Parts: sequence; structure tokens; C-alpha cells
Amino acid sequence: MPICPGDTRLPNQFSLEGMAVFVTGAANGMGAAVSRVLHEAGASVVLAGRDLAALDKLASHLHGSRVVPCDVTEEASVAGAVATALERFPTHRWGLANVAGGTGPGGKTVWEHSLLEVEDIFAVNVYGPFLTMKHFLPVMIAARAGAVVNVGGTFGFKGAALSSAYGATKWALRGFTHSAALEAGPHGVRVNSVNPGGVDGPRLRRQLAEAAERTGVPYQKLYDDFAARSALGRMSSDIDVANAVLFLLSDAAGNITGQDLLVDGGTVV
Amino acid sequence: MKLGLDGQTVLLTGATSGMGPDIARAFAEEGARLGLLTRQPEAVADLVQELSAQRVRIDAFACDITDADSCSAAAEAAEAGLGQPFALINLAGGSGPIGKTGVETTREEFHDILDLNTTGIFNMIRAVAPAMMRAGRGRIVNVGGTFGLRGRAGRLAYSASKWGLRGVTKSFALELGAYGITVNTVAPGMVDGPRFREKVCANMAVAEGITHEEAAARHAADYALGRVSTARDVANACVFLASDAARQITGVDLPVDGGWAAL
Repeated sequence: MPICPGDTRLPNQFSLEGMAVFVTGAANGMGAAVSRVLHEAGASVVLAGRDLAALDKLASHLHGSRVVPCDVTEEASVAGAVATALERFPTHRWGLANVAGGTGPGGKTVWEHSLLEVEDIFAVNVYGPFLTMKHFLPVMIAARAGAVVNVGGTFGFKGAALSSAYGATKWALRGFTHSAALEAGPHGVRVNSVNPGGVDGPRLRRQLAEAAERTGVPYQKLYDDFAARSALGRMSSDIDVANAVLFLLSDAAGNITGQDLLVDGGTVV
Repeated sequence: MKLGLDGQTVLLTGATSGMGPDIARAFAEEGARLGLLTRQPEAVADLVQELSAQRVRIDAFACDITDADSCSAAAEAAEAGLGQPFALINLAGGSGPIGKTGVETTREEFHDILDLNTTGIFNMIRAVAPAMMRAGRGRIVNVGGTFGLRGRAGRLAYSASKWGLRGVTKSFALELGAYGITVNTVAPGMVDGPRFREKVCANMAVAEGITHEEAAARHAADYALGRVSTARDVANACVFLASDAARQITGVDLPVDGGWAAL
């Protein structure tokens, strides 16, 4: 067994040349940003998702990328999408970026949730990454190369009143990440998570607008207070998150696995 | 990835040995100017010459991190010579007593390693942060260790010093965030190099009656990825956290340990 790989210096270890990355949730804001940043870094990107019109539009800007329809809550759909991706990029090293996710029912206590509501958010946020890992890790293990990045969130680090189901999915994702890292590590495959907090975008703005409606506090005040809760005093951007995903997929992070990297401007400190 | 380190001044402590030279080279490759802060500037003369020959702007400044006045003087001299500091990489540190229980560790041994690994970095940040605060931007990366994430029998004093460093890191992160300064820790596991090969593996080989290679293999097997880290692995993490790409990351501990901390 190699103790260390010798001189690992490459022209640019932050480059993803020669890698294909399967990105789930590629149609929406953060998934699209991740796809763009990985493409800029030299990766061939597989844009996986349900909104094919949005994916096709994104693909037209990302030369060499491919769209595959994929519903991460359906195993047959995931298996088919992975098979299609492998056919299209048969010779590449693989990366997997699990970006697809939902927010679940907001504003409810634990005892107000229906079982179905909890199951639904677990289906997207936990079973989704589980299914893509289940179908990709054997491919990576056979190649003795590959990296997975799961996008979690700061709610996987703390209690979250009135967002318990969502928070529980993010804690669960960390569990899968750590255990998968231990299982895949001996085969040369890395598994990490990136955990954004307060990403400025349509979803957060909608949530703040709803909170403004509910509480009567002006939207701008809620927005400013939210940003001020971080040490750096600003919201994260989806590019900040994408850069962290890129780093963890790249050879520059070659001995980093089983880690949860927070990208939150310093809120969970 | 746009790292944005071209032309930026990076100050590095502990460049004399271990991972220091490789971390300096990694920043030099990104076009940074380098200020090496070290007790013995003559000990980094070869590194300065090597990188100068590659047209890197680099200089060494005398600095004892256990002496707050020395840190201030070095920070001033480095700013005068290389311009406003953008990043500070705190690598300098020591191992403390190895193989001693807490009961066996003397008060002096405990004090000395905390003075170097925890107070030393506190001194260094206090010396450099004001210039970053004036500029409204900066990056501080502290090299801790995985024993700052867990307890460790036989390394109590060292472990305490690295836990303390995390407190220094996180509290500075909260205080300096408003000035656009990020403060993070990189926590390497075992790192390949002369110390690992000639000391750690040699000692284990003697203690366990095994060969050098077997000792190295046992260490590697401690990690999910089956290898110890290279200096370059650690350097890459430092470069990432010092870069524009990590501008929204602060107060975190990033282990570079092949998955040891995931256990």
C-alpha cells in the first residue's frame, strides 16, 4: 500500500480537467452556479434534474455538458441517469455533486408535522444523495478514483426551531457523508460535504418575504439582520458555495475526506 | 478557480522546516509575495534563494512568536519591505512531550508548548491583524492538528495547545469578520517528511519490534484513504483558505487527515 503518493505537485491541482461531474439539482440557482464553476475549472458536467427546459438552456452555455433527466427520489430514475452519464463520458474520472434539495414545511413544530411531510423532505434531501451515492460509488471504487460532495447546510450543525424536519435531513446527510467516507476511503474515493448558510437567492428571499408577512417586520430589516448574524456580515453567494464544491472535488483536496466544510460567513463558530 | 493571490503579500511563520518550504512554494506558484517570519532568518536562506531565482519577491524577517514585541517588530519590518499583508499563515509550532501522561508531564513542559502553539499564534495575530483591519481585508490560516479535535493519551500538552488554538481561531474569526478578515484552522493528521520517517516511524519500529516499512504502513492504515498527508496536501488547504474562493469561509476547522477525524 502506498504510504504517500510521492510528489503530488501538478501544474494546477485546483483544475478539474479530465473529470466528469454529475450535478443534481442543476436546473436551479445553486446547482446551476455549481455547474458553471465546475465547467470553468475544466470538468465535463452532467446536468441532472427534472426541469429539462431549464437544463437545456444551461447546457447551451456550457460547452461539452450533457443533460440527463433525473428525479433523485426515484431509484429507477437515478440508476438510468447514472447509466446514461457513464455511457456519455466512459473514460473520465468521476465526481458527484449532490446539490438537489428542498426546504420542507417551514413554520411548524415537530408535533405539527404529518409523517408524509417529513418523508417527503427526507426523500429529496437524504434518500436522493443516498441513491446517487449508491449508484456512483461502485463506479468510482472500481476506478479507484473519484470524489463526492454533498451539499448540506448549517442546520445540520444546530437545532432549528420551526424547521425541524429540514434540519434533521441535514444532520442525516452528515451521517451518510462520514460513514461513506470511511467505507470508500480505502478504495481511493473521497466523500465530503459543503454546508452553506444564508445563501442569497430566490429561495432565501421568498422565505424572508414570508417571514415579513407573518411577523410584520419589514423585509429589509429581516434581510439585514440575517446578514449581520454572520461574522463577515454578509450573505453567502452561490458562487462561494460552488468554489468550495470545486475545491473538495479537486486533487488539491486529495487527502481530505469525511469533512463538513461550512461556507456561512462565520455563523456556526 | 480564481485564487486571487497574485501580487498579494503572504506572511508565513515556521518556514524553516517540516511543511514550511512546501507551503512557501505553493504560495509562490500563485504569484504571492512572501515574508518568512522565523527565529533564524539564515536558516531559510536556501529557500529565499531558490524562490528569488524564480523571480518571487521574498524576504526573511527575524521573529520569535513567543515574544510579542518580536512579533510586532517583524510585522512592521515585513510591511515596510513587502507592503500591506493580505494573509498570515501560522505554521510555527512544536510537538510537546511525547509519550508522557498528564501526570508525568511537568508544569514547565505544559506551559512551554502552550506558549508556543497557542500563545505564539495569539501574539502573531495581534501583531498582524491591525494592518489587515486598516485595509478592511485579510486572511489568517492557523495550522493546528487533529489532536485538537480529539483527546490523545500520551500527548496531553500538545492536544491542549491545539484545542486552545481553535478557541483563538474561532473567537478572532467573530471579532475580525466585520473587517473582512477570515480566520480558519487547517488540521493536518500525520504528515510525511523527515520527522515522520526518521523519528515517528523509527521510534515505533523500535518500540514494536517491526521494520521501518511496517511502521509506516501501520500509520497509513490509521487513515480511511490509507495514506499519511503530504506537505503539499496541507499547503493546498492553506492556499484555498487564503484565496478569494474561500472569502465566505471563516471560523472553521478543516482537517487534512485522510478521514481520521470522520471516525
